Amino acid sequence: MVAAARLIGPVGGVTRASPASAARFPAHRLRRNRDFVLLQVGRLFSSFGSNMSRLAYPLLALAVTGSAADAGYVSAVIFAPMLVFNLLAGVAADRFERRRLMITSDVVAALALAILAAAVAARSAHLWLILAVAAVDSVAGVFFRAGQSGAFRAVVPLPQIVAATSVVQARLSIVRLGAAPLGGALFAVTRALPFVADAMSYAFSTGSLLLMRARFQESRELDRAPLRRQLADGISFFLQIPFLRTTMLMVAVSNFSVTGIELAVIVLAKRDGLPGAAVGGFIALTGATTLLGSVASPLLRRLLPMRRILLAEYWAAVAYAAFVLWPSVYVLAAAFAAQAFCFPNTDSAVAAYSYALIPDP
Amino acid sequence: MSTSNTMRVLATPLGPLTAGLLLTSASPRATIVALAAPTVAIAVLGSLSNAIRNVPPLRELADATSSATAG
Repeated sequence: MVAAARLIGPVGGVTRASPASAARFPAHRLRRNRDFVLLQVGRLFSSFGSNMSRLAYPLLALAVTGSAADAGYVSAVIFAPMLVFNLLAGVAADRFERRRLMITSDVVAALALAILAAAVAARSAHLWLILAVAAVDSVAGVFFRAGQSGAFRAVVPLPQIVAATSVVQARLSIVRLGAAPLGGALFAVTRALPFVADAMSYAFSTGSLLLMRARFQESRELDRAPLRRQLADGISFFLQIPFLRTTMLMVAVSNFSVTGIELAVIVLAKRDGLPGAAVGGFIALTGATTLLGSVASPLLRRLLPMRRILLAEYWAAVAYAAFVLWPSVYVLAAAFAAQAFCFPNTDSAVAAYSYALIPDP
Repeated sequence: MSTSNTMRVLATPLGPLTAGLLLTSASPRATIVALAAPTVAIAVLGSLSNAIRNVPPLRELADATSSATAG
C-alpha cells in the first residue's frame, strides 16, 4: 500500500512551476476551480475507499482461510497488475477518451466489490473470489490512474500546479491517516462493510467525473511503436545511466521489503488477537511518520548531503534488528514507522533526479 | 517514465508473497530477516556505489539537461 502510493504519486511531472508563480496563484484560487475541486473530492472518496479495501483484503483472506500464505497471495495480486498493466494503461490513456476510461474503471471496480461484498454477507466468499476481485479492482485502478494524470493536467493551469500538488498531498495524508483504521473498524463490525463502502466511493468518483467540464485529453503525438519496442528502448536507456540503474535496483528492493513487512505487521497483529481497528492503527502510524517525514524533508535536504538522503531509507532498515531481539508486533510496527519517516526524503530525491534524467516524463 | 515505474515495481508483488509463505512455514524472526536483509544489503552497496557517492547536486544536473536540450 505504502509502496504503491509512493511509486504512483499523485500526478506525473508536477513540480515544474516555480515557487514564485505558486505565490501568484495561491491555493485559495484553486477553490474556485470547479473541475479541480470535483476531481479532488472524487479522488478523496475513491482513494479512501480503496485504502480501506487494501487492508480488508488480507484480513478477509486470513478470516476465511486462516493462512498467512493466502493473505500473501491476495496482497501480491493487489500489486501485480501495476507490473503487468502499467504500460498498457499508459497507451490506453493516450489512445482512448480519458474520462470514459476512468469512468469505466470505476464502474468495473464497483461491480467487482459489490459481488465480493454480497458473497461475504452470504458467507460464501472463497479464496478464489477474493483473489479475482482484488485483481479486477487493482487492474481498474491502474487504468484509472493512467487517465487521471491527464485529467489533473487538464484542470490545473501550469502556474497553479505547485499549489494543486499541495492539495493532493493533503488529500493523500488524510487517506493515509484515516482509511486503514476505519477500514479495520468497519471490518470488525461486519466483514462486508469496507467493501460496500469502497464500492460506494467509486460511485462518488464517477459522479464527480461526470460533473467535470474540462476535456481530459492532451494534444500530443502518439508513439505508435509496439509496446515491446517501447519497453526495450526504455530499459536500454536505463542501463546506460549508472545513477538510474542503481536507484532502480534500490527502489525495486525497497518495494519488495516494504510490502512484505506491511503484510507481516497485519498477520502478526491478527495472530496476537488484535482487532481490525488496531491493525489499521499500525498502518496509520506508518502514514503519520511518512507525513512527518515529508514535513521535515525541506529541512533535511538543506542539512544532509544528497547521498545520505538517497540512502536514509535503506539504512533505516537496520531498525528491524530490534524485532529480532524482541519479536513483538509493536516493535515491528515501530521499526516500520521509523523507516517510513525516511520514505518521502529518499523518494523525492530519487524522483527529482529521475525527472531530470529521463526525457519526456 | 512508464518504463521506469514498471521496472521499479518488478519485485513488489514478491514482498507479500514471500512474507505470507515465510510466516506460514518459518518463524516471524526469519521472515523479517529475509525481508529486511536485502534492504540493508542495498544500503551497503549504495554506500559503496560511485553513482550514489558522486551524485551531482540536482541544480547542476538540471542545468546540464537544459543545455543539452537547448543544444
